[in-house]
Amino acid sequence: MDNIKISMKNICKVFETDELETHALDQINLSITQGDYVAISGPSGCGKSTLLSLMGLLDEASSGEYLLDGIDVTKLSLDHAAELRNQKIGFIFQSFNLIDEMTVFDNIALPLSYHNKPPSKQAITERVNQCLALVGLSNRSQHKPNQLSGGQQQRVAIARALVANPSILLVDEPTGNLDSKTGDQIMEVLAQLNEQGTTICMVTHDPRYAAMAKSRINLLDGKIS
Amino acid sequence: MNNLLIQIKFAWHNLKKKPSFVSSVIITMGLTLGALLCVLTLAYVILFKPLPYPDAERLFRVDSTVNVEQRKPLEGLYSYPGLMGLYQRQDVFSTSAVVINSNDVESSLAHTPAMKVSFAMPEFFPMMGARYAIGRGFEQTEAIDSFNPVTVISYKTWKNEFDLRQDILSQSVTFSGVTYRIIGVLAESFAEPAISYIGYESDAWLTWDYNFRRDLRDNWAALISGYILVGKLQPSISHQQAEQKLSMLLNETWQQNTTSHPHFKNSQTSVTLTSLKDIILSDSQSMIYLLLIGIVGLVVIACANVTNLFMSRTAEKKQQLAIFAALGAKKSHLFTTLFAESLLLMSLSIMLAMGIALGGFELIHRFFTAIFPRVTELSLNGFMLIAAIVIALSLAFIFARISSNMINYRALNTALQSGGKGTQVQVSKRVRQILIVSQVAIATVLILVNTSLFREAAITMTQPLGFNTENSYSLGLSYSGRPRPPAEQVQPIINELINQLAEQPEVQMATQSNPPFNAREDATFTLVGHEDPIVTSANMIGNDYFSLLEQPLLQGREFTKTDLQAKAQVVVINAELAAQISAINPNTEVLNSQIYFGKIPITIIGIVQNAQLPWHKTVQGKFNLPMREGSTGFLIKLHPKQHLSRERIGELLKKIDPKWTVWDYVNLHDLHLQYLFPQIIMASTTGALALLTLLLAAVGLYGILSYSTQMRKTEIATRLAIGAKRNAIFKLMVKDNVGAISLGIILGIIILLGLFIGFSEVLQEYLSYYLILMFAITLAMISIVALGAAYLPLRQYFSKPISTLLRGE
Ligand SMILES: Nc1ncnc2c1ncn2[C@@H]1O[C@H](COP(=O)(O)OP(=O)(O)OP(=O)(O)O)[C@@H](O)[C@H]1O
Ligand SMILES: [Mg+2]
Repeated sequence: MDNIKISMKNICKVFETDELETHALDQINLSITQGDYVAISGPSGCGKSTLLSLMGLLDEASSGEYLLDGIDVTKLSLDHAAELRNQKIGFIFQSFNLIDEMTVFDNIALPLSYHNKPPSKQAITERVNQCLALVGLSNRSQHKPNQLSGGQQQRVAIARALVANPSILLVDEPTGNLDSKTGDQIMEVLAQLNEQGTTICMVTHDPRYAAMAKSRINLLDGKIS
Repeated sequence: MNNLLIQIKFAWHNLKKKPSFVSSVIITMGLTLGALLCVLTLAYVILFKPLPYPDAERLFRVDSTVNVEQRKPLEGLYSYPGLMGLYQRQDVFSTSAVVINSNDVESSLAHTPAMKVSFAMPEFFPMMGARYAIGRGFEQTEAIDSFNPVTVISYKTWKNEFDLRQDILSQSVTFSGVTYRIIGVLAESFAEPAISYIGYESDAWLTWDYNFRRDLRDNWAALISGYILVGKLQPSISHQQAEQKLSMLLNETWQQNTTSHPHFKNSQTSVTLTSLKDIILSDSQSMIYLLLIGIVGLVVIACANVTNLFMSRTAEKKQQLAIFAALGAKKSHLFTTLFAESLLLMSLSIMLAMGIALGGFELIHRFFTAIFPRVTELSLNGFMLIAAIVIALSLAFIFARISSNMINYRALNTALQSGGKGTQVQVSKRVRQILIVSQVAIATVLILVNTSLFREAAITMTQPLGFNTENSYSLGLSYSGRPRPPAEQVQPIINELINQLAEQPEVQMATQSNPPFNAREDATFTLVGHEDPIVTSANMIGNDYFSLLEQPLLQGREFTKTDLQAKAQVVVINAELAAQISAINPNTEVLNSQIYFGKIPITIIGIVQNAQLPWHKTVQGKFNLPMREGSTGFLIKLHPKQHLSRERIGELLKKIDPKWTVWDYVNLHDLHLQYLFPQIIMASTTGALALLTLLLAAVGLYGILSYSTQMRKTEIATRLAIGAKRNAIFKLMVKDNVGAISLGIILGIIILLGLFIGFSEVLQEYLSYYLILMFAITLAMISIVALGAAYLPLRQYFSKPISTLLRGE
């Protein structure tokens, strides 16, 4: 089955702080297929963000097996992980994480510049404008992030996540810093993207938004319930 | 004021919780300000402090010049009767005195120490405002021709040789067979004026009438050096008038008494007056300025480092400041809070600095007395205290000012609501760039200058001599008694000593010879058919000298005992001089040809491989004449790992003739080191400064870049999350700072050019194409430091999972 994007088997994550061992994730088994829209929900501290970090190669699992796009990514060198993040994963964070010193355009283009073979200037402009259009911000490309509203900033972040044609979008509480109306708009954008074929995995604890996803994973104390 | 006190208490309380911040600031500022205070006080003492002598501005030294037709003027030389006449008949000084510095062995003390003795006329002490720890100075009873053998000893002599015994005035000292009753001890605070050379401190002052050249008192044709006439100019007489009058006076008697002398036909004498201040300052002015510039540079680098520390600290205190603002603190109140903290830190730093400066004074007293004048006057003084207070206050103010400029007071009020995130306290990119530029610029200058000077000194130090000093010693003798016996009576004693030395089992070889470092620099000789004299350096050496020093002979032979006994007119020259001679006379074989020393022909019997003396930059031509009869210099070579003590030689000598004592006995290797002393001081000072600069710049750049990396943590994490590799992040940090670093280097080059123009006299001998090499090395060092400073703070980001970084802890 080559349309499985993410496959996790017996994934555990243990955080060892001074005296305490936190079992953030315990024996997680899951798979996400092409075109899927998965919502992860659960109470605060149950391990949602941790799971997303593992999926996005921002951290390594303590044990278990992880295949991303059919590639075994359980143990990777730092630079190899960076390469895979760049090619296959698009991140959308709760706090947007845009770079204030750069224009909207440059923010979106950033992942392309980290390609092993960065595309031509023209190709970049084309692709960035395409993504800007997709999130409805074509007229803001030369603004700085702090000149935009929260919702607009999050849309820039979505455009940035999309720019490199990732295999999967990983989204952590995209509406957490937004009012409910703007939040709805963002969810609308995500739903549209999924309809056009983008695979999405989203963390949320808003049941309304979780309901918009095609499938749902419930976490409780690091376990899928 | 009261508010400030409360704030200081509060600051003290706060800082106790930040030991690493406090210690970084205090150590950085304490060390560099310590060096600054030390050099600043030294500069003050040397350049601005009035000389500690009454009416010092009217004190002058009189130097005479004898101009003989068609010859180089003879400078600094007097005839004994001419000098005495000048002293007795002059009417431009209200008081004057003649002084001569010399060396002798004290023969009544058990260990017969070598001492620096000075013969002086009684007017000298009151002229220099001398005070006494005990007793009195010379008075009318010791005036010229009183023949009253008494001495005034230095405080050091009293302490070192007599353990400060209270009955010192009942003691006496004996030099060259004359016993001098001690009539006084100079006060510890007495600073002997360096009228002959820097750092000279007499151990004992002896009555004038016993000076060594009194036998020349009726001899006008013998010119002597080292005799110094100092006087206090009458207020009504100008410098020029005095020069004219004294020149006339000296010339008149000179002409009357030398007309008949063949050497001095149509000769004239004149004098110049130099103020004591200029003599003592000599040419140390630019050296002290250079040192000061170097230290100020270090302080600026340190200040840049500490500015960065203060800025990070202020950013960290944001929450606290926001609470103050919410409680109604005005901008000026916040400034007071910051000022209290910086004042406290600077006060602690300056206290450490004072301790370090005092330690520095000790070092200077120990190692720099021969390099800088007046270092004996260096001590904790009012100037230093005022400088310390001014420096501490201004730095405290500057650091507080920079910190308070970071605060956006309006935004601060909203800080509490927004949970501390945001732009209330920010280090502007510009300030950071300025810090980097200034550090790099100054580091470039200091490292380049110091490594160049260091290289120069190190080359001289490590340059091979061309002979072997191992196991070899130089021995000098002293005769206690007046007058010294004529040469033909001394020679048998010398021969006997050499025989006895040779019989010692430890001794491999002994010869009557000067050490290789003794050289007259301006000996002249002529070649047949060539008028122009050749100037070269010359030494007098014994038989088997070159075998003893293992300096290879290239042609001919070296001196034999017979050469010395027969007073043969022979010379051994070095290869360099041989080359010079054959350049002039290409068709004559140099070996066995003759050179003329005056009218006397001398045969070249040997050519020896070049040797290079420590103070010469290049190989010089050199000729060696046989040791003169009765000269009491020896070279002794011991068998490997053997030791022959000074006392043993003293015993041997005593048995031969008890009037002779050992004057000095030193290992040639140590002697070499002594000659290298200025280079050693130069190398260690510049080496230390270069290292310190590099270290401070490295710490500083690291601090600034790591702080800016800290500030950009989320940005870096985001970049990593979207797929940036480590390399890309490192390049980003380098790219962001390469502009500032290059600007710093360019600024450094501009400062260097300015320095080279301003100090061209001192520095021009260091201008060579090696400077380009040194510049390349400097650039490499600064680049490595800058790259390291960019990379190291990033390492923590590469070792932690990116998810943790994004959590923003
Ligand atoms: N870097 C870390 N070090 C130690 N413990 C951690 C770390 N990251 C997460 N944890 C712990 O792991 C558990 C899961 O955390 P996680 O952030 O995944 O929760 P979450 O489900 O995203 O919660 P929330 O809904 O509040 O965002 C928590 O108990 C947390 O304290
Ligand atoms: Mg979370």
